[in-house]
Amino acid sequence: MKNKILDKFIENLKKAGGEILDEIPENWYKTRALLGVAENGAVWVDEYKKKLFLSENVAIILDKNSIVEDMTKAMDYINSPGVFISGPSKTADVESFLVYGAHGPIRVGIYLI
Amino acid sequence: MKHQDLAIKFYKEKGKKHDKALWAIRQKRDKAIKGVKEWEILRREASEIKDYVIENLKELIDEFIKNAKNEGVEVYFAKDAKEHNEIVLKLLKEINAKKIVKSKSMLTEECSLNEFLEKNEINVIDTDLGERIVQLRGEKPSHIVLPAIHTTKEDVAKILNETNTDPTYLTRKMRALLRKEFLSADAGISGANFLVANKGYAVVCTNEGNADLGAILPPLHIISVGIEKIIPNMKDLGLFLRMLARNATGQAITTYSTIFGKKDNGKRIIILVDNGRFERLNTKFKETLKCIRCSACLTTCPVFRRSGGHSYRYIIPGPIGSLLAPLKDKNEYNDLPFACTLCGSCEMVCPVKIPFSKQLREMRKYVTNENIMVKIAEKSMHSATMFKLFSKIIRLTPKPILEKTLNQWSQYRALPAIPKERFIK
Ligand code: SF4
Repeated sequence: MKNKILDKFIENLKKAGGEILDEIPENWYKTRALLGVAENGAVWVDEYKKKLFLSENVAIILDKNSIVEDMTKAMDYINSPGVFISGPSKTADVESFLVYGAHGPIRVGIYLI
Repeated sequence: MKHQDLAIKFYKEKGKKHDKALWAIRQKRDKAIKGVKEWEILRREASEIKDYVIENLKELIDEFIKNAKNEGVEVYFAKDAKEHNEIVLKLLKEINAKKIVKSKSMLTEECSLNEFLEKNEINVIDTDLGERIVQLRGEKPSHIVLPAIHTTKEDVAKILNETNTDPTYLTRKMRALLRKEFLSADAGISGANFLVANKGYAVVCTNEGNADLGAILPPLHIISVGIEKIIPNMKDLGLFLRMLARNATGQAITTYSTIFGKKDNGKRIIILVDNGRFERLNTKFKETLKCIRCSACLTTCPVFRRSGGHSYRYIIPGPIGSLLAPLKDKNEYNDLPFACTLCGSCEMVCPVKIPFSKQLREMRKYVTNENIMVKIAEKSMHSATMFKLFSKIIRLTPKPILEKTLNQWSQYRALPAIPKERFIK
Protein backbone atom coordinates (compact mmCIF):
# COMPACT_ATOMS: atom_id res chain seq x y z
CA MET A 1 0.00 0.00 0.00
CA LYS A 2 2.69 2.50 1.10
CA ASN A 3 4.74 1.66 -1.98
CA LYS A 4 1.81 2.17 -4.26
CA ILE A 5 1.37 5.66 -2.87
CA LEU A 6 5.06 6.39 -3.38
CA ASP A 7 4.96 5.15 -6.98
CA LYS A 8 1.96 7.30 -7.68
CA PHE A 9 3.64 10.33 -6.13
CA ILE A 10 6.73 9.86 -8.31
CA GLU A 11 4.67 9.33 -11.44
CA ASN A 12 2.67 12.51 -10.88
CA LEU A 13 5.73 14.53 -9.86
CA LYS A 14 7.29 13.63 -13.20
CA LYS A 15 4.11 14.55 -15.04
CA ALA A 16 4.38 17.98 -13.43
CA GLY A 17 7.94 18.32 -14.74
CA GLY A 18 9.62 17.52 -11.42
CA GLU A 19 12.42 15.01 -10.86
CA ILE A 20 13.69 12.60 -8.22
CA LEU A 21 17.21 13.43 -7.04
CA ASP A 22 19.75 10.75 -6.05
CA GLU A 23 21.82 13.41 -4.40
CA ILE A 24 21.47 17.13 -3.86
CA PRO A 25 23.66 19.13 -6.27
CA GLU A 26 25.84 21.63 -4.48
CA ASN A 27 24.57 24.97 -5.70
CA TRP A 28 20.86 24.16 -5.59
CA TYR A 29 18.61 25.92 -3.11
CA LYS A 30 17.68 23.40 -0.48
CA THR A 31 14.55 23.18 1.64
CA ARG A 32 12.33 20.52 3.20
CA ALA A 33 8.72 19.52 2.72
CA LEU A 34 6.48 18.33 5.52
CA LEU A 35 4.17 16.41 3.23
CA GLY A 36 3.83 14.91 -0.22
CA VAL A 37 0.61 14.31 -2.15
CA ALA A 38 0.36 11.22 -4.34
CA GLU A 39 -2.49 12.31 -6.60
CA ASN A 40 -0.60 15.32 -8.00
CA GLY A 41 3.06 15.08 -7.03
CA ALA A 42 2.88 18.23 -4.94
CA VAL A 43 4.82 18.79 -1.73
CA TRP A 44 3.89 21.07 1.15
CA VAL A 45 6.61 23.57 2.11
CA ASP A 46 6.03 25.91 5.04
CA GLU A 47 9.38 27.75 4.79
CA TYR A 48 8.12 30.46 2.49
CA LYS A 49 11.38 32.11 1.42
CA LYS A 50 12.45 34.36 -1.47
CA LYS A 51 15.02 31.86 -2.67
CA LEU A 52 12.37 29.19 -3.09
CA PHE A 53 11.12 31.25 -6.04
CA LEU A 54 14.21 33.19 -7.15
CA SER A 55 16.52 30.18 -7.50
CA GLU A 56 16.88 28.42 -10.86
CA ASN A 57 17.20 25.02 -9.21
CA VAL A 58 15.42 23.90 -6.08
CA ALA A 59 15.88 20.66 -4.14
CA ILE A 60 13.20 19.65 -1.66
CA ILE A 61 13.78 16.97 0.94
CA LEU A 62 10.79 14.75 1.65
CA ASP A 63 10.28 11.84 4.01
CA LYS A 64 8.91 8.84 2.06
CA ASN A 65 6.56 8.12 4.93
CA SER A 66 4.90 11.52 4.80
CA ILE A 67 3.08 11.05 1.53
CA VAL A 68 -0.70 11.11 1.62
CA GLU A 69 -3.16 9.97 -1.02
CA ASP A 70 -4.90 13.21 -1.99
CA MET A 71 -5.43 16.91 -1.21
CA THR A 72 -8.39 16.33 1.08
CA LYS A 73 -6.24 14.08 3.29
CA ALA A 74 -3.34 16.53 3.11
CA MET A 75 -5.51 19.20 4.68
CA ASP A 76 -5.69 17.19 7.92
CA TYR A 77 -2.05 18.06 8.51
CA ILE A 78 -1.98 21.70 7.48
CA ASN A 79 -2.22 24.29 10.16
CA SER A 80 -0.19 27.22 8.94
CA PRO A 81 0.46 29.27 5.80
CA GLY A 82 2.83 27.80 3.22
CA VAL A 83 2.85 26.52 -0.33
CA PHE A 84 2.10 23.36 -2.29
CA ILE A 85 4.66 23.01 -5.06
CA SER A 86 4.32 20.58 -7.93
CA GLY A 87 7.32 20.60 -10.25
CA PRO A 88 9.11 23.64 -11.70
CA SER A 89 7.32 26.86 -12.59
CA LYS A 90 5.80 26.65 -16.05
CA THR A 91 3.79 28.44 -18.67
CA ALA A 92 2.12 27.73 -21.98
CA ASP A 93 1.27 31.34 -22.75
CA VAL A 94 3.35 31.51 -25.93
CA GLU A 95 1.10 29.73 -28.39
CA SER A 96 0.31 26.84 -26.02
CA PHE A 97 3.89 25.49 -25.96
CA LEU A 98 4.76 24.19 -22.49
CA VAL A 99 7.94 25.83 -21.18
CA TYR A 100 9.53 25.06 -17.80
CA GLY A 101 10.93 28.01 -15.91
CA ALA A 102 8.38 30.80 -16.18
CA HIS A 103 9.15 33.14 -13.27
CA GLY A 104 10.25 30.62 -10.67
CA PRO A 105 12.67 27.66 -10.72
CA ILE A 106 13.51 25.92 -13.99
CA ARG A 107 14.21 22.62 -12.22
CA VAL A 108 12.67 21.23 -9.05
CA GLY A 109 13.92 17.95 -7.63
CA ILE A 110 12.64 15.92 -4.71
CA TYR A 111 15.17 14.14 -2.53
CA LEU A 112 13.47 11.26 -0.76
CA ILE A 113 14.68 10.11 2.64
CA MET B 1 -19.92 45.93 -33.09
CA LYS B 2 -21.96 43.10 -31.63
CA HIS B 3 -20.89 39.52 -31.01
CA GLN B 4 -21.83 38.01 -34.34
CA ASP B 5 -19.86 40.52 -36.41
CA LEU B 6 -16.78 40.31 -34.21
CA ALA B 7 -17.08 36.53 -34.17
CA ILE B 8 -17.11 36.26 -37.95
CA LYS B 9 -14.12 38.54 -38.22
CA PHE B 10 -12.19 36.53 -35.63
CA TYR B 11 -13.15 33.19 -37.12
CA LYS B 12 -11.83 34.17 -40.53
CA GLU B 13 -8.51 35.30 -39.09
CA LYS B 14 -7.78 32.91 -36.26
CA GLY B 15 -10.81 30.78 -35.56
CA LYS B 16 -9.56 27.38 -36.70
CA LYS B 17 -6.32 27.52 -34.76
CA HIS B 18 -8.04 28.91 -31.67
CA ASP B 19 -10.68 26.20 -31.80
CA LYS B 20 -8.03 23.50 -32.11
CA ALA B 21 -5.90 24.83 -29.24
CA LEU B 22 -8.87 25.01 -26.89
CA TRP B 23 -10.24 21.65 -27.92
CA ALA B 24 -6.86 20.10 -27.08
CA ILE B 25 -7.16 21.59 -23.60
CA ARG B 26 -10.70 20.30 -23.22
CA GLN B 27 -9.41 16.80 -24.09
CA LYS B 28 -6.62 17.10 -21.54
CA ARG B 29 -9.22 18.08 -19.00
CA ASP B 30 -11.38 15.04 -19.83
CA LYS B 31 -8.38 12.78 -19.37
CA ALA B 32 -7.50 14.30 -16.00
CA ILE B 33 -11.04 13.91 -14.79
CA LYS B 34 -11.24 10.28 -15.83
CA GLY B 35 -8.34 9.76 -13.41
CA VAL B 36 -10.56 10.78 -10.49
CA LYS B 37 -13.17 8.07 -10.06
CA GLU B 38 -15.20 10.10 -7.59
CA TRP B 39 -15.36 13.19 -9.81
CA GLU B 40 -19.14 13.42 -9.90
CA ILE B 41 -19.27 13.12 -6.11
CA LEU B 42 -16.74 15.94 -5.84
CA ARG B 43 -18.88 18.07 -8.12
CA ARG B 44 -21.91 17.50 -5.99
CA GLU B 45 -20.00 18.39 -2.84
CA ALA B 46 -18.45 21.47 -4.45
CA SER B 47 -21.85 22.64 -5.60
CA GLU B 48 -23.32 22.13 -2.13
CA ILE B 49 -20.47 24.00 -0.44
CA LYS B 50 -20.98 26.92 -2.80
CA ASP B 51 -24.75 26.88 -2.23
CA TYR B 52 -24.02 27.10 1.47
CA VAL B 53 -21.58 29.97 0.86
CA ILE B 54 -24.04 32.11 -1.07
CA GLU B 55 -26.74 31.51 1.52
CA ASN B 56 -24.42 32.45 4.39
CA LEU B 57 -22.20 35.00 2.72
CA LYS B 58 -22.54 37.75 5.28
CA GLU B 59 -21.65 35.50 8.23
CA LEU B 60 -18.72 33.92 6.39
CA ILE B 61 -17.31 37.34 5.52
CA ASP B 62 -17.49 38.38 9.17
CA GLU B 63 -15.79 35.17 10.21
CA PHE B 64 -13.10 35.63 7.59
CA ILE B 65 -12.38 39.21 8.59
CA LYS B 66 -12.10 38.28 12.27
CA ASN B 67 -9.70 35.42 11.60
CA ALA B 68 -7.58 37.28 9.05
CA LYS B 69 -7.09 40.11 11.52
CA ASN B 70 -6.10 37.62 14.21
CA GLU B 71 -3.63 36.16 11.76
CA GLY B 72 -2.02 39.59 11.30
CA VAL B 73 -3.50 40.61 7.97
CA GLU B 74 -5.24 43.94 7.43
CA VAL B 75 -8.66 43.67 5.80
CA TYR B 76 -10.69 46.32 3.97
CA PHE B 77 -14.17 46.07 2.55
CA ALA B 78 -14.95 47.92 -0.68
CA LYS B 79 -18.56 48.29 -1.75
CA ASP B 80 -17.75 48.96 -5.39
CA ALA B 81 -14.98 49.27 -7.97
CA LYS B 82 -14.44 52.95 -7.26
CA GLU B 83 -14.00 52.41 -3.55
CA HIS B 84 -11.66 49.48 -4.23
CA ASN B 85 -9.45 51.54 -6.53
CA GLU B 86 -9.30 54.39 -4.05
CA ILE B 87 -8.24 52.09 -1.23
CA VAL B 88 -5.48 50.65 -3.41
CA LEU B 89 -4.31 54.13 -4.37
CA LYS B 90 -4.31 55.30 -0.76
CA LEU B 91 -2.24 52.27 0.32
CA LEU B 92 0.23 52.81 -2.49
CA LYS B 93 0.52 56.54 -1.82
CA GLU B 94 1.29 55.83 1.84
CA ILE B 95 4.50 54.11 0.83
CA ASN B 96 5.08 56.43 -2.12
CA ALA B 97 4.91 53.53 -4.57
CA LYS B 98 5.79 54.26 -8.19
CA LYS B 99 5.75 50.80 -9.66
CA ILE B 100 3.69 47.73 -8.85
CA VAL B 101 3.86 44.17 -10.12
CA LYS B 102 0.48 42.58 -10.60
CA SER B 103 -0.41 38.96 -11.08
CA LYS B 104 -3.57 37.67 -12.61
CA SER B 105 -6.72 38.95 -10.98
CA MET B 106 -10.01 39.11 -12.82
CA LEU B 107 -11.27 41.37 -10.06
CA THR B 108 -8.77 44.15 -10.76
CA GLU B 109 -9.78 43.87 -14.41
CA GLU B 110 -13.41 44.17 -13.36
CA CYS B 111 -12.50 47.36 -11.47
CA SER B 112 -10.26 48.71 -14.29
CA LEU B 113 -7.53 49.16 -11.69
CA ASN B 114 -4.67 49.40 -14.20
CA GLU B 115 -6.18 52.38 -16.00
CA PHE B 116 -6.98 54.06 -12.69
CA LEU B 117 -3.46 53.65 -11.30
CA GLU B 118 -1.79 54.69 -14.56
CA LYS B 119 -3.86 57.88 -14.45
CA ASN B 120 -2.46 58.47 -10.99
CA GLU B 121 1.05 58.00 -12.27
CA ILE B 122 1.67 54.56 -10.89
CA ASN B 123 3.26 52.15 -13.29
CA VAL B 124 1.47 48.77 -13.38
CA ILE B 125 3.35 45.76 -14.72
CA ASP B 126 1.25 42.69 -15.41
CA THR B 127 3.47 39.72 -14.67
CA ASP B 128 1.54 36.67 -15.79
CA LEU B 129 3.23 36.05 -19.15
CA GLY B 130 -0.06 35.88 -20.99
CA GLU B 131 -1.32 39.04 -19.32
CA ARG B 132 1.96 40.81 -20.05
CA ILE B 133 1.61 39.86 -23.72
CA VAL B 134 -1.86 41.37 -23.92
CA GLN B 135 -0.81 44.40 -21.88
CA LEU B 136 2.04 45.13 -24.30
CA ARG B 137 -0.37 44.67 -27.21
CA GLY B 138 -2.73 47.19 -25.63
CA GLU B 139 -5.47 44.57 -25.31
CA LYS B 140 -7.47 42.84 -22.61
CA PRO B 141 -7.23 39.11 -21.82
CA SER B 142 -9.40 37.00 -24.13
CA HIS B 143 -9.74 34.03 -21.75
CA ILE B 144 -9.72 34.04 -17.95
CA VAL B 145 -7.02 31.37 -17.52
CA LEU B 146 -5.25 31.67 -20.89
CA PRO B 147 -5.22 35.45 -21.42
CA ALA B 148 -3.21 35.37 -24.66
CA ILE B 149 -4.74 32.28 -26.27
CA HIS B 150 -5.76 34.45 -29.24
CA THR B 151 -2.15 35.36 -30.05
CA THR B 152 0.56 33.51 -31.96
CA LYS B 153 4.26 33.17 -31.26
CA GLU B 154 4.87 35.61 -34.10
CA ASP B 155 2.67 38.14 -32.27
CA VAL B 156 4.79 37.68 -29.14
CA ALA B 157 8.07 38.01 -31.07
CA LYS B 158 6.78 41.22 -32.58
CA ILE B 159 6.05 42.96 -29.29
CA LEU B 160 9.52 41.99 -28.07
CA ASN B 161 11.18 43.16 -31.30
CA GLU B 162 12.54 39.69 -31.87
CA THR B 163 12.92 37.67 -35.04
CA ASN B 164 13.35 34.38 -33.20
CA THR B 165 9.89 32.88 -32.63
CA ASP B 166 10.93 29.88 -30.55
CA PRO B 167 8.52 29.70 -27.55
CA THR B 168 11.27 28.74 -25.08
CA TYR B 169 13.44 31.61 -26.25
CA LEU B 170 10.57 34.09 -26.02
CA THR B 171 9.50 32.84 -22.59
CA ARG B 172 13.06 33.18 -21.25
CA LYS B 173 13.31 36.65 -22.67
CA MET B 174 10.08 37.70 -20.93
CA ARG B 175 11.30 36.05 -17.75
CA ALA B 176 14.49 38.10 -17.75
CA LEU B 177 12.64 41.35 -18.47
CA LEU B 178 10.06 40.74 -15.78
CA ARG B 179 12.58 39.54 -13.20
CA LYS B 180 14.02 43.07 -13.19
CA GLU B 181 10.57 44.50 -12.59
CA PHE B 182 9.93 42.13 -9.69
CA LEU B 183 13.18 43.12 -8.02
CA SER B 184 12.50 46.84 -8.31
CA ALA B 185 8.74 47.00 -7.62
CA ASP B 186 7.37 48.88 -4.63
CA ALA B 187 4.33 46.66 -4.12
CA GLY B 188 2.71 43.49 -5.42
CA ILE B 189 -0.98 43.08 -6.20
CA SER B 190 -2.69 39.77 -6.78
CA GLY B 191 -6.12 38.23 -6.74
CA ALA B 192 -7.04 35.14 -4.77
CA ASN B 193 -8.72 31.91 -5.79
CA PHE B 194 -10.10 31.13 -2.35
CA LEU B 195 -10.51 32.72 1.08
CA VAL B 196 -10.69 30.27 3.96
CA ALA B 197 -13.19 31.67 6.47
CA ASN B 198 -12.27 29.72 9.58
CA LYS B 199 -8.55 30.50 9.22
CA GLY B 200 -8.44 33.90 7.58
CA TYR B 201 -6.12 32.62 4.82
CA ALA B 202 -6.10 33.70 1.18
CA VAL B 203 -5.16 31.05 -1.36
CA VAL B 204 -3.58 31.80 -4.74
CA CYS B 205 -2.97 29.25 -7.50
CA THR B 206 -0.51 29.92 -10.33
CA ASN B 207 1.80 27.96 -12.60
CA GLU B 208 4.35 30.66 -13.25
CA GLY B 209 5.24 31.63 -9.70
CA ASN B 210 4.57 35.29 -10.46
CA ALA B 211 2.04 35.75 -7.67
CA ASP B 212 4.60 34.40 -5.20
CA LEU B 213 7.39 36.68 -6.39
CA GLY B 214 5.01 39.64 -6.22
CA ALA B 215 3.96 38.62 -2.72
CA ILE B 216 7.39 37.96 -1.28
CA LEU B 217 9.76 40.51 -2.87
CA PRO B 218 8.16 43.95 -2.35
CA PRO B 219 7.37 45.12 1.20
CA LEU B 220 3.64 45.46 0.50
CA HIS B 221 1.32 42.78 -0.87
CA ILE B 222 -2.29 43.68 -1.66
CA ILE B 223 -4.81 40.96 -2.41
CA SER B 224 -7.94 42.18 -4.21
CA VAL B 225 -10.69 39.64 -4.19
CA GLY B 226 -14.44 39.27 -4.75
CA ILE B 227 -16.43 38.28 -1.67
CA GLU B 228 -17.84 35.17 -3.34
CA LYS B 229 -14.40 33.52 -3.20
CA ILE B 230 -14.97 32.62 0.45
CA ILE B 231 -15.17 28.96 1.43
CA PRO B 232 -15.84 27.72 4.97
CA ASN B 233 -12.76 25.67 5.90
CA MET B 234 -9.53 23.88 4.93
CA LYS B 235 -11.28 20.60 4.09
CA ASP B 236 -13.29 22.49 1.49
CA LEU B 237 -10.05 23.99 0.21
CA GLY B 238 -8.67 20.48 -0.27
CA LEU B 239 -11.70 19.59 -2.38
CA PHE B 240 -11.49 22.69 -4.55
CA LEU B 241 -7.75 22.28 -5.08
CA ARG B 242 -8.46 18.79 -6.37
CA MET B 243 -10.87 20.22 -8.92
CA LEU B 244 -9.64 23.64 -10.05
CA ALA B 245 -6.58 22.87 -12.17
CA ARG B 246 -7.89 19.56 -13.46
CA ASN B 247 -10.99 21.25 -14.76
CA ALA B 248 -9.11 24.27 -16.10
CA THR B 249 -6.17 22.79 -18.01
CA GLY B 250 -6.05 19.10 -17.17
CA GLN B 251 -3.17 19.50 -14.70
CA ALA B 252 -3.59 17.60 -11.43
CA ILE B 253 -2.79 20.83 -9.56
CA THR B 254 -1.17 24.16 -10.44
CA THR B 255 2.58 24.41 -9.79
CA TYR B 256 2.00 26.69 -6.82
CA SER B 257 -0.99 26.74 -4.48
CA THR B 258 0.03 29.26 -1.87
CA ILE B 259 -1.78 29.74 1.42
CA PHE B 260 -1.19 33.30 2.58
CA GLY B 261 -1.39 34.45 6.16
CA LYS B 262 0.66 37.22 7.73
CA LYS B 263 3.55 38.54 5.65
CA ASP B 264 6.93 37.94 7.28
CA ASN B 265 8.85 40.79 5.70
CA GLY B 266 6.25 43.55 5.38
CA LYS B 267 2.54 44.10 5.17
CA ARG B 268 -0.22 42.03 3.59
CA ILE B 269 -3.59 43.63 3.00
CA ILE B 270 -6.75 41.98 1.71
CA ILE B 271 -9.46 44.06 0.05
CA LEU B 272 -12.82 42.30 -0.10
CA VAL B 273 -14.90 43.67 -2.94
CA ASP B 274 -18.67 43.58 -3.28
CA ASN B 275 -19.25 45.53 -6.53
CA GLY B 276 -22.81 44.32 -7.03
CA ARG B 277 -22.43 40.82 -5.63
CA PHE B 278 -24.69 41.21 -2.61
CA GLU B 279 -27.32 42.70 -4.88
CA ARG B 280 -27.05 39.72 -7.22
CA LEU B 281 -27.99 37.45 -4.32
CA ASN B 282 -31.54 38.77 -4.63
CA THR B 283 -31.87 38.01 -8.32
CA LYS B 284 -32.58 34.93 -10.40
CA PHE B 285 -28.89 34.91 -11.25
CA LYS B 286 -27.49 34.39 -7.76
CA GLU B 287 -26.07 31.00 -8.73
CA THR B 288 -23.48 32.76 -10.89
CA LEU B 289 -21.82 33.64 -7.56
CA LYS B 290 -20.81 29.98 -7.21
CA CYS B 291 -18.28 30.32 -10.04
CA ILE B 292 -14.65 29.52 -9.16
CA ARG B 293 -13.37 30.93 -12.48
CA CYS B 294 -11.89 27.63 -13.65
CA SER B 295 -12.63 28.68 -17.26
CA ALA B 296 -13.83 25.24 -18.34
CA CYS B 297 -17.11 26.62 -19.65
CA LEU B 298 -15.20 28.97 -21.98
CA THR B 299 -12.85 26.29 -23.22
CA THR B 300 -15.60 23.82 -23.98
CA CYS B 301 -18.05 26.26 -25.58
CA PRO B 302 -18.37 25.70 -29.36
CA VAL B 303 -19.21 29.37 -29.85
CA PHE B 304 -16.34 30.66 -27.69
CA ARG B 305 -13.83 28.38 -29.37
CA ARG B 306 -14.70 29.79 -32.75
CA SER B 307 -15.39 33.40 -31.88
CA GLY B 308 -12.61 34.20 -29.40
CA GLY B 309 -12.96 36.01 -26.09
CA HIS B 310 -12.81 39.56 -27.42
CA SER B 311 -16.06 39.14 -29.34
CA TYR B 312 -17.82 39.18 -25.97
CA ARG B 313 -16.34 42.64 -25.16
CA TYR B 314 -16.60 41.92 -21.46
CA ILE B 315 -13.74 41.05 -19.17
CA ILE B 316 -15.22 37.63 -18.48
CA PRO B 317 -16.26 36.06 -21.78
CA GLY B 318 -17.84 32.73 -22.71
CA PRO B 319 -20.94 31.21 -21.11
CA ILE B 320 -20.32 32.61 -17.62
CA GLY B 321 -19.54 36.02 -19.12
CA SER B 322 -22.81 35.91 -21.05
CA LEU B 323 -24.54 35.75 -17.67
CA LEU B 324 -22.36 38.31 -15.90
CA ALA B 325 -22.02 40.97 -18.60
CA PRO B 326 -25.74 41.77 -19.07
CA LEU B 327 -26.03 42.17 -15.30
CA LYS B 328 -23.49 44.97 -15.58
CA ASP B 329 -25.00 46.59 -18.68
CA LYS B 330 -28.17 45.14 -20.11
CA ASN B 331 -28.19 47.09 -23.37
CA GLU B 332 -24.54 46.87 -24.25
CA TYR B 333 -24.43 43.09 -23.79
CA ASN B 334 -27.95 42.07 -24.84
CA ASP B 335 -26.49 39.98 -27.67
CA LEU B 336 -24.41 37.70 -25.44
CA PRO B 337 -27.07 35.29 -24.14
CA PHE B 338 -27.81 34.61 -27.81
CA ALA B 339 -24.18 33.86 -28.65
CA CYS B 340 -25.07 30.36 -27.63
CA THR B 341 -26.55 27.22 -29.16
CA LEU B 342 -27.98 26.05 -25.81
CA CYS B 343 -25.96 22.85 -26.27
CA GLY B 344 -25.39 22.63 -22.52
CA SER B 345 -21.71 21.71 -22.69
CA CYS B 346 -20.88 24.42 -20.13
CA GLU B 347 -23.31 22.90 -17.70
CA MET B 348 -21.71 19.48 -18.09
CA VAL B 349 -18.21 20.70 -17.26
CA CYS B 350 -18.97 23.25 -14.55
CA PRO B 351 -17.46 21.97 -11.27
CA VAL B 352 -20.03 23.82 -9.15
CA LYS B 353 -23.00 22.87 -11.32
CA ILE B 354 -24.20 26.29 -12.35
CA PRO B 355 -27.43 25.48 -14.24
CA PHE B 356 -26.43 27.20 -17.47
CA SER B 357 -29.27 26.00 -19.68
CA LYS B 358 -31.81 27.49 -17.33
CA GLN B 359 -29.81 30.62 -16.57
CA LEU B 360 -29.01 31.45 -20.18
CA ARG B 361 -32.67 31.09 -21.15
CA GLU B 362 -33.59 33.28 -18.20
CA MET B 363 -31.00 35.81 -19.33
CA ARG B 364 -32.49 35.87 -22.83
CA LYS B 365 -35.77 36.85 -21.23
CA TYR B 366 -34.06 39.45 -19.05
CA VAL B 367 -32.38 41.22 -21.97
CA THR B 368 -35.43 41.13 -24.23
CA ASN B 369 -38.17 42.02 -21.75
CA GLU B 370 -38.45 45.49 -23.23
CA ASN B 371 -38.27 44.40 -26.86
CA ILE B 372 -41.53 45.23 -28.67
CA MET B 373 -41.30 42.43 -31.24
CA VAL B 374 -40.71 39.82 -28.57
CA LYS B 375 -43.60 41.20 -26.54
CA ILE B 376 -45.99 41.02 -29.49
CA ALA B 377 -44.86 37.53 -30.37
CA GLU B 378 -45.34 36.41 -26.78
CA LYS B 379 -48.77 38.01 -26.49
CA SER B 380 -49.90 36.36 -29.70
CA MET B 381 -49.12 32.93 -28.26
CA HIS B 382 -51.67 33.45 -25.53
CA SER B 383 -54.74 33.91 -27.67
CA ALA B 384 -55.88 32.11 -30.80
CA THR B 385 -57.19 35.31 -32.40
CA MET B 386 -53.98 37.18 -31.77
CA PHE B 387 -51.92 34.28 -33.02
CA LYS B 388 -53.92 34.09 -36.25
CA LEU B 389 -53.59 37.80 -36.75
CA PHE B 390 -49.88 37.76 -36.07
CA SER B 391 -49.21 34.88 -38.42
CA LYS B 392 -51.32 36.54 -41.07
CA ILE B 393 -49.21 39.67 -40.82
CA ILE B 394 -46.05 37.62 -41.17
CA ARG B 395 -47.52 35.74 -44.14
CA LEU B 396 -48.43 38.95 -45.89
CA THR B 397 -45.15 40.74 -45.25
CA PRO B 398 -42.80 40.43 -48.24
CA LYS B 399 -39.71 38.39 -47.38
CA PRO B 400 -37.14 41.18 -47.92
CA ILE B 401 -38.97 43.39 -45.45
CA LEU B 402 -39.25 40.57 -42.98
CA GLU B 403 -35.55 39.92 -43.29
CA LYS B 404 -34.83 43.57 -42.74
CA THR B 405 -36.95 43.68 -39.59
CA LEU B 406 -35.28 40.59 -38.21
CA ASN B 407 -31.89 41.81 -39.36
CA GLN B 408 -29.90 40.73 -36.31
CA TRP B 409 -31.23 37.25 -36.60
CA SER B 410 -31.42 36.81 -40.35
CA GLN B 411 -28.12 38.39 -41.34
CA TYR B 412 -26.27 35.10 -41.11
CA ARG B 413 -29.18 32.67 -41.22
CA ALA B 414 -31.67 31.81 -43.92
CA LEU B 415 -35.22 32.63 -42.93
CA PRO B 416 -37.23 29.40 -43.07
CA ALA B 417 -39.90 29.22 -45.76
CA ILE B 418 -43.29 30.05 -44.31
CA PRO B 419 -45.84 27.37 -45.23
CA LYS B 420 -48.85 28.52 -47.27
CA GLU B 421 -51.33 26.72 -45.04
CA ARG B 422 -51.68 27.57 -41.40
CA PHE B 423 -51.39 24.81 -38.81
CA ILE B 424 -54.59 25.89 -37.01
CA LYS B 425 -57.56 26.72 -39.17
S1 SF4 C 1 -19.09 28.93 -14.49
FE1 SF4 C 1 -18.36 26.90 -13.81
S2 SF4 C 1 -17.18 26.14 -15.56
FE2 SF4 C 1 -17.42 28.35 -15.89
S3 SF4 C 1 -15.60 29.28 -15.01
FE3 SF4 C 1 -17.16 29.28 -13.40
S4 SF4 C 1 -16.84 27.40 -12.26
FE4 SF4 C 1 -15.74 27.17 -14.18
